[in-house]
Parts: sequence; structure tokens; C-alpha cells
Amino acid sequence: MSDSLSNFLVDLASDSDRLARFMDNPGAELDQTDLTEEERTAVLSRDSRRLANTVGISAQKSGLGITSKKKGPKKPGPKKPGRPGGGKKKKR
Amino acid sequence: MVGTGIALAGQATLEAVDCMRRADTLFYATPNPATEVWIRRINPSASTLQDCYAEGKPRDRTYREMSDRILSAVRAGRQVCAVFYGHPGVFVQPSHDAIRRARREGFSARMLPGVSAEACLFADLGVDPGEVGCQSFEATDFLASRRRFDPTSVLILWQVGMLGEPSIREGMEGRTDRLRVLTAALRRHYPARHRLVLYEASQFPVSEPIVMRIRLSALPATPVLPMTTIYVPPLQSRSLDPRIMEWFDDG
Repeated sequence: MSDSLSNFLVDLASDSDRLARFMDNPGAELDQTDLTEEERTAVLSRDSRRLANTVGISAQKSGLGITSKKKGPKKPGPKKPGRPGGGKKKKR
Repeated sequence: MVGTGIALAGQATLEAVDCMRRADTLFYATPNPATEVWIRRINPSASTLQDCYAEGKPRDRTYREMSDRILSAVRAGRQVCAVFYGHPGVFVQPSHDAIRRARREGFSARMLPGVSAEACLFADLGVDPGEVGCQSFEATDFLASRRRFDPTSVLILWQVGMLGEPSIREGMEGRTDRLRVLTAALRRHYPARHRLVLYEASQFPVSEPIVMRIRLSALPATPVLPMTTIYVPPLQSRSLDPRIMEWFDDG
């Protein structure tokens, strides 16, 4: 996806006058950009998910799923058999 | 450590933007390419941490690499700022890790609060957590840890579309069988007809938040995306304890 859509959205988010003009007449504001037809359609839909897809938001890189699998308390397992003779293994 | 807020550009605090502008080294981690454009306008030397992510790479390793990179710049004597999506301390491991490690090594480090998805939810749904209290859980943790909660208070569940998923894939939706388990857990406290809200904050200046109202019984059959949050309204409050209420008469 080109940077044009990102730049256009940043312009709108940073300039309340331009955002107001867009809300008043979206087609006129879009005519001043070089957005593709797909990008224009996404902006005009004003659908958050569609825009996210068109801009290229990556769910995989979103930080979602941050709570990785946690280990619970250990269950008592079967007792390991001791080595014959017991005690620590000597270093060689 | 600063946050971008959820909505593009408009939700970063003045303090956060000032830190981003003044940093010798500015790192950023945001899934939104438009936010990257905005960050680079503020500080053109900004560099991404997103390349720490890789398909199949354990998240813990990714986050450790992010904090390693931040710490390397700090040790090199730079004024470092790292900017994360939303609130820098909510569902963000590397920011907390980097601060802990920096302080342990004798450097000064701090986190500035940002606008979180929870803050957006309160605003968009008109919920005041001060009225009856608010409990907030990551959805898998809610089930796995059998979290206890009070259904006469607000309940918020995060990442419902990722129940028990070790990683996230494009196009992923919550699995029906797991949503059924969550529904059963909630049914122990709420009637089947209890209304829930599926919520996603708006990320763009031209779009509205997604607010979908369903009955609890309909949850397993409803598509739930990874970023969807469930807001469960409270049941009717219990009668107030008269011994506590008498305190108001004492004063």
C-alpha cells in the first residue's frame, strides 16, 4: 500500500479544519489527493476495519496476545528413583 | 516510554509528543503504518521496533529484543524515547521491562500515561467505572485462572477473539467451541438474555468505533476478531449496607 493514504489520514487527524472540510464534502477533499480507487472507497466507507485493512495494519504485529502461555503451579509428579549409592554425582 | 493513543495522531498527549520530538533516539512499535508516518513527521530519525516480530518467533523473545534495543541506546548515552500503541504500559511488556532494566543499571527512566483502549471504551460507551466499579481481565486469563468477579459491577474482557491462541494470524476469529466455554462461564452469573457489547475503538479520524450489542446466548455464533473487547454491563446492585450508609449521617 502506498504512503498516500497514510499521509492523507495523518493530515486529517492533525488538521481539524481539513477534517471538517472532509466531513462536509468528502469527494472534494479526496479529489485533491492521488489516492487509488480502492483507497478512496475505503475512506468513503468510513469503516474502521476496512480502513485498517487498506492502510495495512498488521494484526500479527499489534502486540495482541501479549499474555503468552503461563505455566500453572507444578503438580507433584512421581518420585524420581535415586541413583544407586545416592548423593551428588562427582565431577570428573 | 510514551503512548500514541488508539486513534491516529489526536490521542497522544502534549507531554508525549514533546518527548518524541526531543529524543536523540526515538523507537516506535505500532501496527498502524499511518501512525508511523505521523511519528516520522515529529522526529524523522525515528526507527521501528516492528522488525523484532517474525512469523513463528516466540513473543517473549520479540519483546526482549525490543527492550534490548532500547537499553543499548540508553547505555550509549542517548536521550531515548520509545513510543508504543495505545497506553505504553497496558498490554505492553517491553516498556515495563526496559524501564526495570534501565533503573537497575542506574539510569533514570519513566513512563508517561497514554490513552488506552479502556479509556476509549469508557468514552464511547458512556461508562463511568466509578459508579459501580469495573473489573478488567484478559479473556484467556479470565477463564484459565478462574477469576472471581462481581457481576453487579462492570466486567471487561480483552482479546476475546484470541482465546488460548499462542500466536495471531491474519483473518483470525474466535473459535466457536472456545466462545462456548466463555459463554458457559458467564452464564453462571448472567441470564442468557443479558446484553453484551462487542467493542472496537476507532483508529482513524474518519471512522466511528464499532459497537455491536448482542445477547450473551448469541456470543458463540458471533464473529469475534482478536482486537474485539467485550463489555458486560452490571446486574442490578445489591441493597446497600445500612451500617455503611449511616456514616453519611455522622458528618
